[in-house]
Amino acid sequence: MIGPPMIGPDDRHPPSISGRVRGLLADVAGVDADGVVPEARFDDLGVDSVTAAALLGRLEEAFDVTITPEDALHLTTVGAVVRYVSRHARCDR
Amino acid sequence: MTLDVASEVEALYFGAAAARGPRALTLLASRPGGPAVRVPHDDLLARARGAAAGLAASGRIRAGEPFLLVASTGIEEVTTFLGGLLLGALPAPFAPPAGLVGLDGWVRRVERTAAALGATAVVGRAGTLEFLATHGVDLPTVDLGALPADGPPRPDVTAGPAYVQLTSGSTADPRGVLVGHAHVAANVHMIGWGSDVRADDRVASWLPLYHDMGLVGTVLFSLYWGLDLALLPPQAFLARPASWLEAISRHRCTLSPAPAFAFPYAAHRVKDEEVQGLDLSSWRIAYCGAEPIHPRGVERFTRRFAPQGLSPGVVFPCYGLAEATLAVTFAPPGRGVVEVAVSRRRLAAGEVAPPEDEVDRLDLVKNGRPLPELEVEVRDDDGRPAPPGRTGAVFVRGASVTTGYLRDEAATRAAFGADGWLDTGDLGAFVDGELVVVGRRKDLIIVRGRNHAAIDLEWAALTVEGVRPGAAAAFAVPDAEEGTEAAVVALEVAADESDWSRGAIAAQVQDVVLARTGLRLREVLLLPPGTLPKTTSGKVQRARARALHLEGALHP
Repeated sequence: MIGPPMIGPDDRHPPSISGRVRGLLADVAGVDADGVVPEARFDDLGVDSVTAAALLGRLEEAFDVTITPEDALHLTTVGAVVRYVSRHARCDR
Repeated sequence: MTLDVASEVEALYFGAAAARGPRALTLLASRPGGPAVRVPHDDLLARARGAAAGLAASGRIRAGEPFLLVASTGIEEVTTFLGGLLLGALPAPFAPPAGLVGLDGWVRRVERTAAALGATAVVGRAGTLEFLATHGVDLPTVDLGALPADGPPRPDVTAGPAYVQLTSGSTADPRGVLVGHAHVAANVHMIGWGSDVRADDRVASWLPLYHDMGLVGTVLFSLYWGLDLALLPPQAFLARPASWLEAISRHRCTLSPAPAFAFPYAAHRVKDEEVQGLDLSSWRIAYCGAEPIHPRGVERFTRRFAPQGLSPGVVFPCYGLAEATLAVTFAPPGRGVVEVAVSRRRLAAGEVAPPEDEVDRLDLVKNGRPLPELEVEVRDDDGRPAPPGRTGAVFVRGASVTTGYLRDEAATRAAFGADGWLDTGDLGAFVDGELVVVGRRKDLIIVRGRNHAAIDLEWAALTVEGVRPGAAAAFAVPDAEEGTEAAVVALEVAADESDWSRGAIAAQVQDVVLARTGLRLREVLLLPPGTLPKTTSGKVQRARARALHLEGALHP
């Protein structure tokens, strides 16, 4: 099968954050995120709107960040969430 | 600060606070330990007047005309809604984007809804409006974050049409119920009457502001009666259901509504360590409506939290719909969920009768009696009142029944009779003087003259391990050969199920549905997660699923 290479933890970010985001994705949405590329859209991963709301809440709790609804508009991929959390979790500390 | 009300509309929502001293709206933080914002009702009135002034000054919001309000749970969203009312304009609270998913669909829904209602503008937060603009939405907008915090009263605004309640219908077409202040006043008054409301009642809610139970049942209800309200964003509950129970415990709340799914959801997901220190003894009424009640799910909830002082009779079945403003029937407070065990076979033939055996047994719930200013009738196929114990179409008439849908005459004519009777679209029966709702009439699957409620098939299918919770849709497809309908159940299963386990799941669903309902399914569709169409409140859209299936667009 030809397709985008499967990427594990995104090497531009601390693996712990990427790993934890993927862990939450698996836990809340039942999506096996290990083999998911950063560009993968939540829409294509089978996440519905109620699960998405739960996932946002869990992300806020896990990383101690506030994700405003306006910010969430731009978080449509796994990679975007990892970047957002990396940036904001650091600022909060 | 003394509170002087200056118009009919202000008197309706702030009269109680003016007479009894203001209570407050408290917005709780979405995550633990975050700051809560408490706004006393006099301050809320000042801010609502400010919002009215700002909306009017924008030139885009006008009395008598609808506007879309992107209704995330926030103080500014509440004051902007109220500001719209004070101005005599018609706010239409609109579900905000969920975030992460469905954004393209959301943008198109904004456009379609605005066009269908003839909305003059979209009002929301700057970031949301910018997002719409960058996605090619060309509608006038107003930034609700920039509205003034105070303004002059508008004494001439009378209590006529109030707002537009969008219904989460099962089709893609947006539809808005035009609700008047008189309808709201009648309904929230009856809710108070049916709840034995007390001066020291306190309300807690995580229901969204665009949902009728959240808007009328908590915000407008608590304002009308002058009660404290603790408001929690829905995503906080969905992420961590303990946050709902903590709000009730900490604020000593007495009244808190939730849709039926919330009870098993919380019973499953609240962690043992989160239960420590909860005191739920203040909670009198958990209004439970909006979807059929599964008695076992409610039982899990009341049993799990009984040690925290939760009263076993706290869950309060009710029935209602946006077209009648909100509430229609109420059970007696404190009684809890009373089941009616009925025969599936006899129910399919239109009769409520005791089950013949366990397999034939279906548990329905008594939804109580009509509220005082409403009449409810169950009618047979000829439109005559059906005798007690026979199922039929549920009709409602009375003080809070609205006049119809905004700019949709065909839909209005179809549901709202000239004689004042509203066809609710539901199938029900009277049992011991109480309404028992069987399901939506259009969701019935009629096989060889026998009626099967879609939800009955879905509940059976959902008991099979491997099926994702809540992710089942049953619907009928035409069976040309037999000249009748055949039943299909579409389900979501985890994407990584093997072919072998998929086959096993499908076979088990066939067996359990056959055993429970006597119906052989034409087909069991196993779909990847997120494939079934759902409403903004997470309910499966059966009609939409059916349409997609018939188009061949619903497949693994």
